[in-house]
Amino acid sequence: MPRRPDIRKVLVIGSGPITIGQAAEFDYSGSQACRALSEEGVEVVLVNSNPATIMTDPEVADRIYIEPLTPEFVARVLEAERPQGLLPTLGGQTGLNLAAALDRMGVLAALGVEVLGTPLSAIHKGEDRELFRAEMQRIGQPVPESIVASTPEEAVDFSLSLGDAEVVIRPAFTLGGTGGGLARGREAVWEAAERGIRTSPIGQVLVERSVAGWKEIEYEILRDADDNCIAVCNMENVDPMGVHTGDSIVVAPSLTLSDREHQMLRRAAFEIVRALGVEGGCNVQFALDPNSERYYVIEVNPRLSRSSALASKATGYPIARVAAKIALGYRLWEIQNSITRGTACFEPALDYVVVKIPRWPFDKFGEADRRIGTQMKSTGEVMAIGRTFTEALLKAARSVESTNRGLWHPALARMDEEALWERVRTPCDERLWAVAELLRRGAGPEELAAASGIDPFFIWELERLVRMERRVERDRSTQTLWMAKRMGLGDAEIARLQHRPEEEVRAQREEAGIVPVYKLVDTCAGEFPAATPYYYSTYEEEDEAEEDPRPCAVVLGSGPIRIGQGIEFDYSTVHAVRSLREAGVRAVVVNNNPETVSTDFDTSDRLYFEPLTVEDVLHVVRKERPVGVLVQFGGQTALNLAVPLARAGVPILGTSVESLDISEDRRKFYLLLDQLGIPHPDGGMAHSVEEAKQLVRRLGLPVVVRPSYVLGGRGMRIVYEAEEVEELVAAALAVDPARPVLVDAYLRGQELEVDAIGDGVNLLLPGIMEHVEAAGVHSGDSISIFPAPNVLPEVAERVVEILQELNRALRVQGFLNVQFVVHDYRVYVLEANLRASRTVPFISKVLGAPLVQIATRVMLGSSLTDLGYPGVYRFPAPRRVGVKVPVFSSEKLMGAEVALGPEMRSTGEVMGIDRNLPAALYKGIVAAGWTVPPSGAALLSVARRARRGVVPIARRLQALGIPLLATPGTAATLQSAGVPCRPLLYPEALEAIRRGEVGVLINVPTAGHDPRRWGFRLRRAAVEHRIPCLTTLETAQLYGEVLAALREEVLLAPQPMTGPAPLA
Amino acid sequence: MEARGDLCARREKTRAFSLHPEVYSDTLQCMNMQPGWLALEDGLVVRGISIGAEGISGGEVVFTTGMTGYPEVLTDPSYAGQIVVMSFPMMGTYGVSPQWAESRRPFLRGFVVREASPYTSHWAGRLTLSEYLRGQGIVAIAEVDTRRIVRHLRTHGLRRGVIAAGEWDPDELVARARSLPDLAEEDLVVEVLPEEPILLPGPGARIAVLDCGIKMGIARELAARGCEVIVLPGLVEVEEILALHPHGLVVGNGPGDPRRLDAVAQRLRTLFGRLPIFGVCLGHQILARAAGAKTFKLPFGHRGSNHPVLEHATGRVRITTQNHSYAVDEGSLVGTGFVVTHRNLHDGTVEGIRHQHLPVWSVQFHPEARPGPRDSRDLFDRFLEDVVQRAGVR
Ligand SMILES: Nc1ncnc2c1ncn2[C@@H]1O[C@H](COP(=O)(O)OP(=O)(O)O)[C@@H](O)[C@H]1O
Ligand SMILES: Nc1ncnc2c1ncn2[C@@H]1O[C@H](COP(=O)(O)OP(=O)(O)O)[C@@H](O)[C@H]1O
Ligand SMILES: [Mg+2]
Ligand SMILES: [Mg+2]
Repeated sequence: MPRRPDIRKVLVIGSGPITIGQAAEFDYSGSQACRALSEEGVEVVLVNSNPATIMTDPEVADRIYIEPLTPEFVARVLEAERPQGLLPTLGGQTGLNLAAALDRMGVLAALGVEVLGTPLSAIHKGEDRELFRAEMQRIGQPVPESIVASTPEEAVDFSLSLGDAEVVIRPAFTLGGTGGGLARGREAVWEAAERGIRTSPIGQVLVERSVAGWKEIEYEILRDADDNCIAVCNMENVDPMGVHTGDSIVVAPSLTLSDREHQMLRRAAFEIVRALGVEGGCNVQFALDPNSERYYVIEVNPRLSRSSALASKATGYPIARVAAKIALGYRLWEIQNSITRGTACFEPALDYVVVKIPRWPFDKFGEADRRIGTQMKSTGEVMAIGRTFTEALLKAARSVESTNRGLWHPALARMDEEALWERVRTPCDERLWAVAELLRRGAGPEELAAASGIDPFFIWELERLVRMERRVERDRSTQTLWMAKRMGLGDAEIARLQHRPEEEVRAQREEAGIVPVYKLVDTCAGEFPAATPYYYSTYEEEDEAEEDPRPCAVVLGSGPIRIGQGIEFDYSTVHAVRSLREAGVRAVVVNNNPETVSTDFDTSDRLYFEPLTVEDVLHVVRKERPVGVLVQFGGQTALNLAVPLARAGVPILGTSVESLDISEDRRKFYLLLDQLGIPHPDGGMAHSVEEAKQLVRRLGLPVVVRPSYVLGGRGMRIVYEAEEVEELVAAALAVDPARPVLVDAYLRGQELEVDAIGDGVNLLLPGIMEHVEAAGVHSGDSISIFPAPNVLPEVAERVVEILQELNRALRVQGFLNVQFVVHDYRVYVLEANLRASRTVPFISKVLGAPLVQIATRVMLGSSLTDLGYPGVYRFPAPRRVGVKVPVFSSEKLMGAEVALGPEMRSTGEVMGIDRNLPAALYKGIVAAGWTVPPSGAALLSVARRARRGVVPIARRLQALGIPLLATPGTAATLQSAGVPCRPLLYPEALEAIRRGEVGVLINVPTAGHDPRRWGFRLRRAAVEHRIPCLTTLETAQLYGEVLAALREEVLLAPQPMTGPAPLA
Repeated sequence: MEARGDLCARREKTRAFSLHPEVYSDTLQCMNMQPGWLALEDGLVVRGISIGAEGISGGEVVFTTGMTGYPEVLTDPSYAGQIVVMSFPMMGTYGVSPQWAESRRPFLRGFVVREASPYTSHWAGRLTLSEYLRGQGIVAIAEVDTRRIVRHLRTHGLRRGVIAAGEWDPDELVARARSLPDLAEEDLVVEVLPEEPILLPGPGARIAVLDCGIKMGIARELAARGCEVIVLPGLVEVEEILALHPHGLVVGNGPGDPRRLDAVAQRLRTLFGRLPIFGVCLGHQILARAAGAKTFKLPFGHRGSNHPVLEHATGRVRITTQNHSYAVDEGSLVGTGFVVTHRNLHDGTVEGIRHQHLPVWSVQFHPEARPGPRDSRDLFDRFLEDVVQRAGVR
């Protein structure tokens, strides 16, 4: 059955901001699917609130709406565009929920819009846990005993009826297992059920017999309307049932399943997708008894998912592309496998092993609970490919860029055994490293397997690695080196074990001819010739990456998605690749993140799926002999490689390594600013508590404290008390006396940010961004307005002047991101980043300007004058204003601080864009998930220093008819200012949130990070109840303004984006 | 764009990389391992470590791409005469157990893997891969670049080769590979033939299964459907078959060139129309030859668990297990009364045929799976429908 001719225009729903449980994978799947649709001549209309996505580029879709993903806005887009079809399965849970809502509202029927691919009925059956169970029972697929509970009591009764067995509690209709958990015993069950019922939008939880400890196995299935089914891939979770698949270390294909078990589950998966009526992709999760062939079906995701993205990258099979073609009516066997040019109707055969390791955000949330369970906590992941499990595992371990060094973790190495065992028994982010550490100390593999529930196979493999470490420690011979490399050990790890510099290991290795070869990911294990440029390294004989004489440049990607380094950097990487290709230069990408567009098989001319370390990048450079390496797009990960790569003789394109080094070293940078006469916050280094005291005396309070060592997530802080400074400094120096603590004067004032492009002489100025929150809130967590509405002309002039001076002094060739604070009418520089920043996609989209393309050309040697931007070139102001609003995932991280501060905490962002500022602000905050107007009263509870400021805000809210509640101190201030409010004691305030009386919390903390304080508990309660939690006065004021504007009926119509002008 | 680091100029050395032989042999010594070799007639020699029996063995070198199911591969008699290269690199991870055996013992001549797991982690796994191979006297090697061998065979076609454990002169190994007989000249079926008939009792239809090296999975599938299954040595006379009064006949898989079994084909021809007949793999080729069609050798065969096969009647595709070097020549079916029912979506070769009027049909792939997808087990039901229609027995 060829494609349906009646489908000419299709609406694709994106997944919105990056949050825990919903990351960049949907940009990858979505943009791949959009291209597949366009290929068929379909007009693609795209709606997404996330500007940092490739799918919202004009190259990907025909009409783009960056609008809030709410049923109201999407309905208006549908009305305006009148597509024949809607494809909801590309936008994760958000896409599905929206489609379901539009259907319920009758919008789809009224407008004659058909849901393409998997029908909504199938989606319902897959998503609604009760319907799903019934369906499974009908077709005879085993599911664990369970009930649906709407009250905690029902849950307790059920667990008692199972003989007080452990149960797992999972709320209906949430992502990433939000609000779920394992519990045993009356009290624990009650508590978990209560929490789950609260987080579920329909107030229900599924209470289920726990099969924690069983193998967790996933299948990625594709099915067409003729009922042809294929299993693209299966994946085995190294962490057994009980740890969310998103938080598990995963291998593909399964390694401990017999063929019988594998075929049994594959077959069951087929029966399930058949029964549901899926037409497209579907993920099926099973629990398999490690001691028999018994299994249970755990859940299905009848859509593209994080797992399907991983499976795509693991196999080379473009699942999203094929799913999109199926949605258009094609049969599987009519679709071409773009890799082998054969049919897409086959199952990939792998001849390598893939390992995925999640990346958790605990470096930013020291106070958060590091245990992992049925609720996902990781923000991103890395994938590695090797010919064996050990090789792939070690490559993945050196890709995660956490505090680990390969399989070795300095903090765990210092820990006592009991603490390590605790980390093995109770799953946490450090479990893999704890197991390795215990093996090093002689613990028995069987014992570790029993304590962790991890299959002994994987523990034995770790033990082999530990044995190899021992051998490497005592023997520097070439033979040992060869064996170690073949098992996957990195040069850095070998160097650490042998107490010598990495360079020396590298030299010895090269001398002996021990260098990797590259093999192709070809979907067919070498059975057919393949036309794909997707490679991984291994230590074997045959190298398949053929020499290509055309000149090339290597673009370094940004690795796993983490707080502070998100999808924005993949956006820039992909655009850099495009502009290289346009300039006739072969683009070679090195990256290790399976969720991204940059690692799609047809994004670049060559993709090396490799760790982003000096060693691995050097190998690629040796192989490709590029004109140079581009380090400005892959965030800090790429930038950090510049110096060591340059030292190894690799040409770095763009701004010189010397300048990069100055910008990265605060001391050198301040020195440069002093030379140029550019003001910066006064500050200094504290090598002792005494020095800290002196600094505080000199600078005055508050100060910004930056321990160079991140202490349990406590990085940079603004400190208001001298004693606290001393404590922080003492604690930091206790960890590492050699590393001084930076103490700067805190400059309160308006924060501005610019992403300019320089060529050392000319300067291209897209405009100035203004933060809503004053300096002190990290630029990534501030609401940012572009172009800046409230900047005085003199300030703007000074900003440009400073930029130009930095451009000249640093001989910038490429991006120049600078953050400023305007304090007492003086412009200070906070920092400069000589790389593409987080905001590049945001301003590119508002301006409709190809900033990355321009910067790439500059890095390749063009001057801005050549490109048509001579002198200090200012882009004409856009006709619309954009507002970037951060989105947090704090509700998924139990115990994590919610208040804004100088340490970035948001996982993603959305953009509101409109002709006038209030409308853009409204769209921005709605897209970020704030309820506007609030669903209840405003609860005010602010620190003493903010009390005066809160009065006008309260007054405005009151004028808008919003009832005010306030905690005692704040209430007193309000009442004495004549603003009526209901005073509440803290416990009462907490109760009011729990009861749903509060619609917005305004809480400016006195001190953060302390879970025992009432303010902290109020903030947690607010995010857990999904009500806006505003922690600065500026944010609160903006909220009030938007509410007021809403009263005045601002026009809130969706508007399509305009594309960028082609590059001159 | 001219700037090239001097590092890039130094690349020549690494391009010509192949591991220093001394490093390699030293490494083996470190590991207390015997070297192991695979040498092809065209001169390709790879060295790894021995993980199986001592000695040397020769045969046709083939590769299979299935990622699970090595115990089933090891015991599939169709691999008689062959040295099997596994394209999936990690083998033995779940051990070996009699419950996964497809025949009484392995008949293959050698086994080549990238990494052999030194332990087994599975409730049913009894032996490690290496223990099993040693116990069964199979020469096997590990730690070689199996993907390179696969690509070599794919490009140049299947090759004769020898596999050896211990110290050998590579040139001698190549010479030995060259002196091996062509697989097509070997009577492999004789090697794998059972001595005695086997009876799997059941209340239903009596099905005779002709065993030229079958996987027991075929018999088990029938038995699971209630049939009384009698597995007969493949070279039995027609009279012996008929004497059992079977309600249907299945001609199973087996090794080698179907041309060497034309005697069997001639016998089967006399049964067309007298019994419902179902052929699998080699059985399919024999039936085609019985009908007067021709078979030919594919460049490197189909081996694995992921081959898509289109069924013409329904337009549906099934993912199948395959293990064959020979295929039925489509043109030669003209005038035989047989039509093509199934086709391989990769190379368009014939995957199934059926007689236009008589209940005689066959498939090239393995509906019994083991290893591989169970998508085609319905074919046994279809065959039994033929039996019911014809004989009225269930
Ligand atoms: N019955 C159970 N017993 C033990 N663990 C379970 C059970 N059901 C689910 N889990 C664990 O919880 C995780 C999340 O559950 P899942 O149903 O997949 O929800 P989500 O929609 O969040 O992916 C699973 O990956 C699994 O590890
Ligand atoms: N001296 C200071 N005065 C006021 N705010 C500051 C000061 N230093 C840093 N900040 C705030 O902290 C945030 C993060 O600091 P920054 O130096 O930009 O670190 P990062 O490298 O994490 O971006 C800034 O966005 C700004 O809001
Ligand atoms: Mg799940
Ligand atoms: Mg900053």
